[in-house]
Amino acid sequence: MILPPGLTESEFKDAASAFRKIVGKEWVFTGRDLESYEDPYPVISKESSRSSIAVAPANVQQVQAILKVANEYGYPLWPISTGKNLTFGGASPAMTGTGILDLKRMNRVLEVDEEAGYALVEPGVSYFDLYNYLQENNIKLWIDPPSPGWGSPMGNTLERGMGYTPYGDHLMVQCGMEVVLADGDIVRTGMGGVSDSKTWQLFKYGFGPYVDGIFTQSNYGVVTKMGVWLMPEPPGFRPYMVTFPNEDDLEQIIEILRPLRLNTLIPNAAVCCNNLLDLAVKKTRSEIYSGKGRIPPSVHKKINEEHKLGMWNFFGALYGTQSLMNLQWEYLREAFSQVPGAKFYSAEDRKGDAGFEYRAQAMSGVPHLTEFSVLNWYGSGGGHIDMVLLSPVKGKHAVTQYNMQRDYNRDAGFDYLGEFIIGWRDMHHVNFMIYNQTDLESRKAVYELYERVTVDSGKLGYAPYRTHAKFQNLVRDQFDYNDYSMNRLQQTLKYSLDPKGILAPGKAGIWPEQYKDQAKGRIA
Amino acid sequence: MIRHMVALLFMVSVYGNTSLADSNDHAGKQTYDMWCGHCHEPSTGPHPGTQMLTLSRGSEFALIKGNDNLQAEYIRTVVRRGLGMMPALRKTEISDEHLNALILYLKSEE
Repeated sequence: MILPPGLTESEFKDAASAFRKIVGKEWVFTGRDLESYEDPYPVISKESSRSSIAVAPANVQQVQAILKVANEYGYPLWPISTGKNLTFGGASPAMTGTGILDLKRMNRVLEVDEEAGYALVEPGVSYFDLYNYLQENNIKLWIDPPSPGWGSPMGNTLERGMGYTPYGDHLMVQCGMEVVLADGDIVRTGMGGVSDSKTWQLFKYGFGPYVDGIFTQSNYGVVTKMGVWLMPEPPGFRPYMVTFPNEDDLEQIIEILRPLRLNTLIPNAAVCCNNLLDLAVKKTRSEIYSGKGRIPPSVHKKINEEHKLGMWNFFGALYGTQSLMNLQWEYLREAFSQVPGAKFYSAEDRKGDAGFEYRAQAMSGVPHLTEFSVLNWYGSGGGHIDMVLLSPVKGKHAVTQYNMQRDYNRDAGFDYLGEFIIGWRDMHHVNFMIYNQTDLESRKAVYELYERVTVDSGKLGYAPYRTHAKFQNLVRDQFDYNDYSMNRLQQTLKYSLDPKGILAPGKAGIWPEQYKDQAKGRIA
Repeated sequence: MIRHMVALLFMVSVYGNTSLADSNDHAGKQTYDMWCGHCHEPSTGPHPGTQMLTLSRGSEFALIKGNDNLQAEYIRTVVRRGLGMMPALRKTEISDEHLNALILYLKSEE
């Protein structure tokens, strides 16, 4: 039996019995039922991602009661909303044996205000749920799903995830939370601090210190309600694609993109991806090349011709009236034409192209699972862990990061399949590290690759913004300014808000006192 | 095959009542649409599950709907434990009752 460190079997049994009294025996899971909470794409082993119990409350009162029991027994719990953070460990905890607080049953869309453009949701509401709700009720608002869109607005926002519409920065469009603190107290943030507030989902900042951010990527509370702003359906939508022929075009592409994005001529979180990432949605590696090692330039040339791809491919969209979009398109076309050999494609031109169509869906707020196809790149058993490094929107930084990761991927025996998601002031550089999760050597190789990229990028002043459950310490250690003062502050908050250390030990490399032996080095 | 037949007969007996069978069909289709179809509908491009099964099992066995090759217990195991890139689906996502309905739906001619 796997238990959290320090918990005896007898304490486990008593706590499990107390949990059953709160939620009913059918909503407390042990034994083989816990397999569904393990890391779907383990980078170490399935065993290390195991939990000891899962408890699924139906409402806020049950969450409070569960936390009371957890405090009494010192039982650590890892809260999940829908547990679809798949590339970063899924529902699995950082510390083996931690219990799961599964909030999926709390799945109500509590409010949608079409005029004001927001929704108030519970943790278990998925992007598909919210999308279906809006469609069924003929509400002309868009959601902003990540890709793939299997997760939840709450879970993705709390991880500070991205989507692809103009509302792509999810924390930016979050407004108001309800949080159950470790001691069971309920706090409503922002304007929610006012009883019967009329502006909870309208104004983010409230009065006094703004606290919403401390409940993201953290272990300070359990978020049970969250407001999310939704984009009004625009009068027109026009997705497009621009292909660029050469690998060396990257620097110029990013230099062109920066002013366009800063001035919102590119209004959404648009994407520049390499040819293999786009191709991997439609083909497996063995279908284009049977050899091992680096894919030769002649093969790149052939697939680019066959699939109308460039070595780099930009996917963007225009939103608005036809006349407005016509004007914007003229300007964008002129800007991108500075790159010799740039080719332009509309939705009509790419009809039937799964790679284009799923990106068009994402940029218009339609959830899909198409991007999972990239996991088939090497055949069956595909797993992936995303290295998401932040970069300035500047060509030389993009080239530095790309060259390093392309070469490191090759050294580890993997192809580089990657993209730059263009934000207002930064880019999320996503390196899809795809590996064979059923092969120990492949898992070891990807683990070491992730560590190598993280550490060497850190030396250059870059770091990921989010990571896998087992890499929380590693990424925390890149934030080393002033002898890790940020982590000291985060630890201080932890000791104050969760003195018994029951919530998500190890999240963001923040550990309670009793597990401090796990705060250094690799998480077991 | 025998094990499959037994499982199927058991479920038919459980859901023998007509109105219950109707609601069960509905629950099965709903579960499929919500949790399976996005990956397992026909055409390989936008459907990762169909793509994978085409590669591993061949195009005749690439769909999970109407696939006689899939036994009930196998479906149950894959749903609860995951397979390859497919993550497991928890009881808070698909209840045992809905999983039974899903299996019947996958086997139905609908």
